[in-house]
Amino acid sequence: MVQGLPAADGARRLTVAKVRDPNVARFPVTGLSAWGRVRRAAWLYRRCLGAQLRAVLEYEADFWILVVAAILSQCLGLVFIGAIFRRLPSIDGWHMWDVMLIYAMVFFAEGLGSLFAEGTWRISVFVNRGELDRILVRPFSPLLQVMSSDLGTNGLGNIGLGSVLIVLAALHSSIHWSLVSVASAIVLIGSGIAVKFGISLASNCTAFWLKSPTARVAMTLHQLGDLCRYPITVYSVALRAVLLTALPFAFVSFVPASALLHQGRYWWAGWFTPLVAVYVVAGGIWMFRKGLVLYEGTGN
Amino acid sequence: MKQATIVLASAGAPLLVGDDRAGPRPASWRTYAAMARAARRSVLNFALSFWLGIAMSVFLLLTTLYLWRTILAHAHNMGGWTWTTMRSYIAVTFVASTLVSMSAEWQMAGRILDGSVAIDLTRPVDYQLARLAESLGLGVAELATGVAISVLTVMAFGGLRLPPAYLWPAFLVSMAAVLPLKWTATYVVTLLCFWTHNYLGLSWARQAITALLSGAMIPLSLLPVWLKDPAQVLPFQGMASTPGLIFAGRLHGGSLVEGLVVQWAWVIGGLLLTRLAWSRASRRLTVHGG
Repeated sequence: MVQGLPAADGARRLTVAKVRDPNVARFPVTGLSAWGRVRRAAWLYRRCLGAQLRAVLEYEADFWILVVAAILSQCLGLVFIGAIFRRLPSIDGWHMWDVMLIYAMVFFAEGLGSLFAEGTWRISVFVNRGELDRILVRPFSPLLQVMSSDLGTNGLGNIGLGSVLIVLAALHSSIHWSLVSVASAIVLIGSGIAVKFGISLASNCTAFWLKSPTARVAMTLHQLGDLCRYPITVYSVALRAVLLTALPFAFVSFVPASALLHQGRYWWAGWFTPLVAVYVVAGGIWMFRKGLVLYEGTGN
Repeated sequence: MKQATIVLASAGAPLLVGDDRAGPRPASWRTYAAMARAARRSVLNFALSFWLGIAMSVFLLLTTLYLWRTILAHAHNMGGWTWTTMRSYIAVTFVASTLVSMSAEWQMAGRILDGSVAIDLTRPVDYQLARLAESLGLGVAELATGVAISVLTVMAFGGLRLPPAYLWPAFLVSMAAVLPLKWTATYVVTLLCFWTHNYLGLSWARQAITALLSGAMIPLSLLPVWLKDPAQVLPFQGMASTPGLIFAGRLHGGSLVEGLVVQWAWVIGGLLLTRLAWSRASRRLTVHGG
C-alpha cells in the first residue's frame, strides 16, 4: 500500500508502507505442502483479480456500460424466445421455460468466465507482443496469472440475469425438487461451466501456434458455441455430432439441461457432462503447457 | 479542436485543422475513391481475419435457418410466414448483416481511444467522408461474399424463390439504403468513444438493439406490440427488415412506398446527424503531445 506520509523534515514523501496481509508470511514461495500451495494459489489469484477489479472500477461509466450491454444482449434472445413461444406451445418437445433454461445456462457460464477467467482471451495479445516474459519469471502459476490478467464486468450482468432465469426456469419446470435433484443440478450446471471454460482456454491457446494479434479463432468458435443456446435437436446430424464431440459446446447447456429436465431421448447423456468437463479442462491445460514450451519472448 | 493549431514539421507553416478556409483545396472524389479501393484491397491482406468473420456470420445464418425451419414446421399461425417466404427473408437479412463489418468500426474506435485520430485530422480530407468511403470499399467485398454465401446456404435449405420482376427496382433501392444506414449508426456510436474509455460495451449494445429492431433475428411483425410499433418509425428496420420484406413479397403498394420513404428519410437525416455529432465529438479531443 502506498501512502503519503510526512517525513521527519516535514516534506511529504511517498513511502511504501508494509503490506499488512498476514498471508505473505503464511505462504512462502518454497517449502509448502501440496495443500499449502493450493491455498497460496487461491490467495494470489484473489489478489490479482482484486487488483483488476479496482482498476476497472476507476472508470465507473465504462463499468455500467458493460453490465447494461451484457444484459441488453441477453434480453435480445429472451424477446426472441418469448415471441416464438407466444405462437407455439413447444419445439421438438421443448417448452418455453426449458429453452429459457438452456439459454440461461450458456450466459451464466459465459458470465462466470468473464468475471474469473477473462484473461484467457488475452493469450493471443500476450504471445503476439511477447508479454508472457513478465508472467513467466514470477513464482505463481502462469495459467492463473493469465486468467486473472483481465476482468470483464459484463460478467456481472450475465451472472445476475442468468441466475435469475435459471431459478425461474427451474421453478416453472416439472422437476421434482429434493436434496438429490438440487445436488445433481449443481453438479450438472457446474460441469457445464467447466466445459465452457475448457473450450475457451483450448481455443485461445491456438494463439501459441498461430501467433495472430487477435483472438479471432477463439471468437469464431465462441460464435459456434452460441448454436447451443437452443435445443440442438433442430440442427442437422452432422452439426449435432460436431457440437457433441469435436467441439463439445452442447455439454455447456443443452446436454446437462436435458438430464436435469429428464427431457428428450438422450437425457442420460447428461451424466457424462462431468467426464467431458474433466477431459476438456485437462485438454486446455495441456495445450497451454505445450504452448508455453513453444513461446518465444521478444528480447528485453 | 476546431481552432487548434498543429504545426507540421515538413510544411513549416501552421495549418488550421477543421477550418476549410486555411486548409489546402478540398479533396476531389478521386481521393475518396482511392481510399475505398485501399479498404477493399485490405481484405486480401487480412485474409484469415476476413474469413473468420465470414465463418462467424455463417454460424449465425445456420442457427437462424435451422430454428425457423423447425419453428415453421410446427407452427400453424406464424403471422402468415411460410418456410419459403422466410427463406427469402433470411437470405436478404443475412446479406444486410454482413455489410459494415466490425473491423472498420474497431479501427476507428481504436484510433479515437489512443488519440491517433489527431493524425487523421491533419489530413486534407473530410474525416466523415473518408470513413464512409472506406466502408463503401469494404462493402463491395462484403456484398460479394455475403450474396454468394447467402444464396448457396439458402439453396441448400430448399431453394430461394426470387420476387417477381416488378419488385426488383424497389428491392434494389431499398437494399442501397442498408449500407449508409448501418454506417451512420456505427459511426455515431463510435463517436461516443470521445466520452468513454471502452468501446466493447457500446458495440455490444448497438449490435443487440440493431439485431432486434432491424428484424434480423425475427420479423418485426412477430414482435410484441410495445416493440413493433416503435420499430416502424425507427431507422433500424431499414437495415434489414424493409429489403427483406420486399424480397419475400410481403410488402406491397402503399406500405412498400412508405417503407422506402422511411428508409431514405433516415439515410439523409442520419448523414446530417453524423455531421452534427462529429462537430460536437471532435471538440472533446485532447491530444497530449506526440
